[in-house]
Amino acid sequence: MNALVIGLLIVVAIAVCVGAYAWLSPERKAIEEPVPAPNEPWQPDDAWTAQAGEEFATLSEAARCDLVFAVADLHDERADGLLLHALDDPSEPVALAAAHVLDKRGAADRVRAHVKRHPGARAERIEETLSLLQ
Amino acid sequence: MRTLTDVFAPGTPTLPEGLRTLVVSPERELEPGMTVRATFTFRNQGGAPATGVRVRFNLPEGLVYLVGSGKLDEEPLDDEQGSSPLLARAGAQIGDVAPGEERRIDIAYSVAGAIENGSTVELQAAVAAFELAPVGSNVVRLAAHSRPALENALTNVAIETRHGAAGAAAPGGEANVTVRVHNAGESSAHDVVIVAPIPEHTSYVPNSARVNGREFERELLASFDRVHAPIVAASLPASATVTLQYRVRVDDPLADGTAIVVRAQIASQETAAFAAEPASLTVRAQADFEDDRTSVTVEPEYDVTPGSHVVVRAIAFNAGTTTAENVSFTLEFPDLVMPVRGSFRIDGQPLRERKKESFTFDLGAIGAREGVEFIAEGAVLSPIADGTTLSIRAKLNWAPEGERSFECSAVVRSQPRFSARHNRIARVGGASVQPSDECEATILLSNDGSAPATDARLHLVLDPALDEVRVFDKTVRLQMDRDEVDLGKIDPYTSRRLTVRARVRTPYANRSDIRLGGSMHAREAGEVVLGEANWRVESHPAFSAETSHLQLVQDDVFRPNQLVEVHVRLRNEGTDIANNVRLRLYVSPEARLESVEGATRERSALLFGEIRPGGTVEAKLGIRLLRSLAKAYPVTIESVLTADAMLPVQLTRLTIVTTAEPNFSVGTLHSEPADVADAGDEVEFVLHVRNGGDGPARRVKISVDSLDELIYVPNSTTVNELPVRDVGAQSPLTSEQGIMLSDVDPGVEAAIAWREVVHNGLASGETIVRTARVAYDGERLDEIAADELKVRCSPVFANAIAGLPFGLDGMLGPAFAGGQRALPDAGDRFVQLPPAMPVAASLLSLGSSGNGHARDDSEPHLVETVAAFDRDRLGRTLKFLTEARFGGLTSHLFALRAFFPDEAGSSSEAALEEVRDALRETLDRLFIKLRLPNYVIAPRDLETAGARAGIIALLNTVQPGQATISNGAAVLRGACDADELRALAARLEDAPLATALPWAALARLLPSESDAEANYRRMLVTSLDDLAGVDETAFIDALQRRPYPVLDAALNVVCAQISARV
Repeated sequence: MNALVIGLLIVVAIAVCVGAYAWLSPERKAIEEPVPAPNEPWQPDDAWTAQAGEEFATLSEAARCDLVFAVADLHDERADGLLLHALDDPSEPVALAAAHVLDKRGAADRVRAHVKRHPGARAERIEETLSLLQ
Repeated sequence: MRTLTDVFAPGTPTLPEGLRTLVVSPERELEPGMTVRATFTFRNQGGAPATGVRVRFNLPEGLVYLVGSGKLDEEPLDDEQGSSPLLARAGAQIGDVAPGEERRIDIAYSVAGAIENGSTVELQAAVAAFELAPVGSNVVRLAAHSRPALENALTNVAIETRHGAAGAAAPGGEANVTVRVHNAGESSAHDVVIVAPIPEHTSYVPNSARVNGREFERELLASFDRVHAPIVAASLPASATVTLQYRVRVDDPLADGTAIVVRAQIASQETAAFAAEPASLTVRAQADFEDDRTSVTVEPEYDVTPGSHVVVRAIAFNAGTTTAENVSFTLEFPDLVMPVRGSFRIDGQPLRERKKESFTFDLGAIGAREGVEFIAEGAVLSPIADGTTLSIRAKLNWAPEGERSFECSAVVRSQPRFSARHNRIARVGGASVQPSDECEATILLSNDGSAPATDARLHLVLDPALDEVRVFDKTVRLQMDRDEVDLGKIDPYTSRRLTVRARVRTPYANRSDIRLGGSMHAREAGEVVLGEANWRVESHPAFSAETSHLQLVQDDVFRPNQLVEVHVRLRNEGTDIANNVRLRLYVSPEARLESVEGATRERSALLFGEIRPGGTVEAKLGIRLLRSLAKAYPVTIESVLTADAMLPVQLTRLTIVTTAEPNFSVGTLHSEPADVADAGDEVEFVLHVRNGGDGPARRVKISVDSLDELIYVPNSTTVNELPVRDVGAQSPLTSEQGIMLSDVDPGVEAAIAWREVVHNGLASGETIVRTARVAYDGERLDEIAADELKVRCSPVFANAIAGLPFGLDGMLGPAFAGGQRALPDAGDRFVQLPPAMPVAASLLSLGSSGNGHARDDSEPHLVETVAAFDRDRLGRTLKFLTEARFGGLTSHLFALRAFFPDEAGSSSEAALEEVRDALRETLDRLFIKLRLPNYVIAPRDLETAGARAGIIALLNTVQPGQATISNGAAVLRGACDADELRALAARLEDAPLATALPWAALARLLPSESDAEANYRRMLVTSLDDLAGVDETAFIDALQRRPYPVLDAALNVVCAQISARV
């Protein structure tokens, strides 16, 4: 019995030493906190439709809104990039549509990050309207 | 022990012959290009297998491996990078060889193209294994057999000039002779000899012989042209070339077309002598006039003046190598040079005079290195521009086909000239002028020189008395730059006549002298003085009514007693001083001269003294208008201007427009009572009118209209309290003539009063507007209105009162005397909604339970709906409904989303959830789209086939029963008939998409617990049921355009009630 206890103590001591070495080792890399992207003034960009295809390069405001919903209905994970790009659409309803479908697709955190990165009255309106549709 | 790697290394001895199994074909001799095949066979003679066996062949010099020929037991061995592994340093790996097993190796070589005759090639193979040291095969020795070949296409002879031209050479020039010997055979040639004698008509250039570029005479120890058959190469390897070169000089002179032929013979020890194909070079000789000794010159070359002679000298010298035949010289003079007859000479001898001169001269034959001189003269014509280059062309022709052109030139020096005899200025017309008169002079310019005068400018010396100076060239006006005129170029032997016109400045002193001088400057001619022209001035003062006048300071219509300012302006338009200037005024009697500024007043005259020519004097007069003005007679001022030494001038009469008129626009019309009068009351009107103008009114007519609301009280009209006679039963005010006042002076006032009774049949609240009209002087009309008078009366129902023994219809009764009932407060402006309809007992029982909900479980087909809202959801829902007010019926679709039940009876939760999700998705997107400006709803925005199916499923599966949710800040309950829902589901099966029917069905699921909720649900269901039969277009029109104010208000009440619950 004593031998078993002594063995356990030795194992524990070795584990403590290994842990201390790992913690104090100069090769240990510091955990870097993710640095959020700095805030930037929002710049309108309606070129996002071209990503869906050349034929979609020039669309009206309502058509862009329909495109957002159509893309959302595709259930394609790659559509997230396009929808994120659509958040910068100069039309606020189009951007709201993109934010809405992103929210429905479970990408609400990305919408919030975008809103946080481009603060302003437009961002606040989108966020408030989005909350109404919960 | 040697390894297989180093057995065939250069310089190492051959391996001992351990196996004599190497067989080579051919066996003895070989020739270039032949294939040599070697076969090496070996057998494991031992009793144990040989492992790791390797075989290697040597590659002797002169042989090359025949690619792909390596074989092991008839099977090809793969080559590596163009070589067989059999020739590699480590040999070819052929695996193990069992005891008694025999292996055969084949390989082939090709004999190289050049191999020395008699050289020996040795072939050997070696085999080794892990267990065995290398064992060599027998050595096979082959002797090479080959020979050189000197006679071939690359062995040749060539001659060419030093500049590389092989076709022609000039006498005296050099040429290179080249003899190339190429060995096209397989072995070397020894003691190669070339016999190349110096060609005829040439001579050897000493020490120019080279063999392969190196000097050859040092080896010969003698001059090359003296050695007959030198050995140029002791050994010439196969494919090598030896080149013998030397230079020769062509004899001079030589006849044209002489051919220089080079011949050579070649031999070696192995090759018999043979002659190479001869090469030749043709000599070309010709006459030559191209060097500097042949020339054409002109004298003098510069400063040739018009009219002088130039001498053309031509020298033709034949620097060629043969005689030039039929030499001729052609001379060509320019247009500006005329040949001088009799001046042509050849070698100093004059030519024969001909009447028709030809300018081509025969010089005869000119031998090599001989020359001829030719001279001619020409006269330079005038006019001619300075600096003109006289280009003289000449051409020399000779046979055969020789020609040379020449061009020389002489530069002309030419000048313009302006003599005083032909260049002057002269006056045109008389010598006496008046200010503002125009005087004229003529300028004559004539270029007598031989060259044009450029940049010519005319400079005028102008007297200060001259204005508007203009210069004309014939009828064209020239541009003046201050006092100068740019004349540009004046061609030689041409004249220009310029006309100068100027106006004498005004004013200007009498008897003054005026001078106009001039000079001309040209670049080549310098300054040329042209003289001057003279005039004398005659001058006097003068005034006119156009520039001297009286003028009102303020252009207006003036009224009596007003001070009118008059501006006097006098201007001396003459050319001399006006002395003792006086202006006599004649003013109308209705005004008088009250003040004078800027002049001296002497009774009705103004004294101004002296006014210089062009001078102006001004004065200001004050004219007072008298009260006795009449509108028809304006005030006038006439004036006469006088001065010494001039005639009197009458100025334009000044008229002052005046006016004086009456004005009755300011007046009052009052009533008593002022604002409100009861029906039947008497009202007294008082009209005050006053002439507020500055003129009398001759006739003033005052009238009012006869009103139905008022009844005139007879004999009640007075003017300034004086009774006025009525016209019939009416006041004279209401008659056609009205009340007429005459001669009403300014400030006079009249007060007109009359009384009228308010008609007792008027309705309460009627307004009486009384307006009086004042017309005067026939054209003016003013209206004076009294304040509006409201009629007050009260309703009455009774036709009998106490004390009256009978009933009387239409009597005014006691109410007429007062005692009106107080009116309700008019401040309540809220919309009064219709009273809520009680929920039908069949739909929702009134039994109280929990949250005020009424329920009756005895109704088996009743579906209870519940929507629970916590505080957060409720706030969000109400805000959503506020935001979703898009007008029309659209807002109420969002109400369906907001109040959609969380439970409906005991129906399937999944079906309810599906409809809820579809509803939210559809309406959320619509909510976003409607935020687009001017968005028009599309049918696809309203409903999809999937959503329709979900609704039908829900309506079919919903089961009567009670909902169980009861938590939350607010619980909204409702109830509907399950049978009705199923009937709607059946209708939905056939109803087109995007119509009102599904929404009508969903509206039945709305809460209806409170009166407001029930009322709203009933109204919404009714509205949607009404639209159930219309198509999608009409439904969308109702959604976006048709107003539903009552429904909107009902929704507001519901929202307010729900909000109040929390």
